[in-house]
Amino acid sequence: MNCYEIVYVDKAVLNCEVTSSVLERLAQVPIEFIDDPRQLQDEVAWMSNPIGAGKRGLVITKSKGKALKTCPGARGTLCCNYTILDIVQNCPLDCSYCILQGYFTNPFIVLYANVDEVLAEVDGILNRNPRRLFRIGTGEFTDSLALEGPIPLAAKLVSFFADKENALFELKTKAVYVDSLLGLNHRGRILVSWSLNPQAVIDREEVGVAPLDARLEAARRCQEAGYKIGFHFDPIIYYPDWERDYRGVVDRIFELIDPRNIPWISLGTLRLPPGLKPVIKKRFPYSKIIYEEMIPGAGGKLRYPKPVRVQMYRKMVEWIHGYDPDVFVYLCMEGQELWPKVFDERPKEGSMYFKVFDRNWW
Amino acid sequence: MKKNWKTPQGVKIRPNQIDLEDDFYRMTFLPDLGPLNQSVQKVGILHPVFLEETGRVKPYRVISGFRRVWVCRKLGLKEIPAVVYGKEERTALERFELNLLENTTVRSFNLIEKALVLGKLVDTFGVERKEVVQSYMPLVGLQPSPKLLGDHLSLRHITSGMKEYVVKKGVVLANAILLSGFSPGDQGVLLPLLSSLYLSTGMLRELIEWIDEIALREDVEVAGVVNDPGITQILFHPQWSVPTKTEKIRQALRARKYPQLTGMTEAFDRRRKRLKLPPRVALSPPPFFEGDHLKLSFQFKGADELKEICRELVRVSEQRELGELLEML
Repeated sequence: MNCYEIVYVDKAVLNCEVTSSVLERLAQVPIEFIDDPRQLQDEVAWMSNPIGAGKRGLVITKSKGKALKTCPGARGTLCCNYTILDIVQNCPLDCSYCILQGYFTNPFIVLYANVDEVLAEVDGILNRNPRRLFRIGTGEFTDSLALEGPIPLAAKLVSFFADKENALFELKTKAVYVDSLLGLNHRGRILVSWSLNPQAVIDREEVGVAPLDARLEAARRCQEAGYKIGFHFDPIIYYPDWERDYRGVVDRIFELIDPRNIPWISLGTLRLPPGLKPVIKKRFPYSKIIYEEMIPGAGGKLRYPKPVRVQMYRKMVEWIHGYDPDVFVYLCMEGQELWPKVFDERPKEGSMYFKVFDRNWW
Repeated sequence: MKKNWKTPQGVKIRPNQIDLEDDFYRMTFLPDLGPLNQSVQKVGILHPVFLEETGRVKPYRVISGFRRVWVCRKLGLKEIPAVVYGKEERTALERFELNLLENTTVRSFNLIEKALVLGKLVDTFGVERKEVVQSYMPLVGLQPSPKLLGDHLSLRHITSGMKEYVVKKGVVLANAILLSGFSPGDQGVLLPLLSSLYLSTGMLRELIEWIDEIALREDVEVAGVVNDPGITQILFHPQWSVPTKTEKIRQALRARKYPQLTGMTEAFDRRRKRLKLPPRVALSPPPFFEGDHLKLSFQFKGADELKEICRELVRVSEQRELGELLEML
């Protein structure tokens, strides 16, 4: 997928292997060499649609921060200990509800070309903490596979994490570019997961993103290649036909994927910082998701009232566990008090719950 | 914008020769003419107005001095001191700048006037946005910011009736931007409602957002929300005061915007009432029913009163309704 109109290359990473590789693949795209990505801020200030424009510009620069960052889970919520491997920021996909709109000061897609340095730092962290299980992924600040065409990083990351015994590495995506993954020796330690929504929601809110069936077909191919497969229903969006449509998605999952290959399915209803509302309103005037009844919850984010969330979660859990009660389902960014209202049983000792959450929160 | 102005000779012009309908250079909106009126009555016009020759039936258009011309007309003055620029002297932008500079020395601009100035610079005079931000925004009392420029330019979509409301009620920029998002027809529907209520900045914001979001969610016209019998019956109630109407309309709109939350609040209140809490004891849910703790607070003057409250609270703790309230969380 090449949607770039310009590539800004930080002179500091001119000699990086990743830089050369990406520029080779984007040979037709104009390149501008820059001394410091911060100089782009002024340009951004004059854009009428900086977020939209940012998706068509790639900045290749050097990571100066920490390689691993904790997921910015809202205060007062139960966190699944997702650790972000920060090598790409922002996403070429354009989903109406995406929290990344305005999350970073820089709206461009940013690639840290010093990937080897970043991975060396990760290696050090994993080695220094042999008893801790790290859940690591690239799917929080970007889509893990949407950039695979011009920026093929997945294979490198899979190879790196395949022999790490204290890391669960997850590629989280809405894309279907899985060819580069299929022949790799992942040693069963890599999880490829898809964010799913009913096709009706994809048509309205995830314009231009792969259709549901294509995502599930990509998941099936990864399953065949021996990968564990995760699913994220996040955000689950309330609308009049939500029950029929979401149930349909659950049915499709279990038609194609063996539940034994699904380590987890996460659920999270729509939530957004209040500041995102005007952005969505302006960028996606046809979208109605922000007009539903939403109240300020944990971390100040707007979310559906608790009875609505509980009802949606309970239904989803019922449908999923109707296929296999052992599939581990967890709630994303929900308070501890909500869990007993959703799940009838406490998690079993030694289950994925304890691996993911690293402690007994129940 | 650095200019070395050469001012033509001053002349006397009859006010009726000046075309006040021509607002090409105008940046005045809803001025308070009272003080100027008094001053002109006492000492006349001290500074000449700047005019431009147009060659039309009314041969002069105002570059600067709209308010003075209005006052002269109103007071029936026969002549007004003026400086008249021929068609070829200075560009239109330079004349507009002249007006702007003259205005900035004597007064500040209201929100609509700021938007008017910035809009004319961009739309009428074709000034680059960067130049507007850097050179002109500080002149009208604004921070030089591209975003702020965009915000002010969005006010171009406000109808003249709504502009009057904005100026008269001192509506802040954020709320004016919200109003500008409505179509002219919808602004016409909103205006009588908003003008009839007593709204603080926060209340106005809430009301505009609720009406907009209800209409979009329910796929009805703004008029369908504003002219709902539940609203109009309150608005036209013969006995209620403006603050009462304001509060009741807020409640009605809030209930329509947040039906779940309203239902939960009402159910909580009903059950709490059944607990028969002692006087000066308050029991409240967490904000928006998020969280799992109820909050109990009370006041007392002496030890006996405290003991009595504690006895009563023990009774309350054993009531089924308390369990129901906790179950709601």
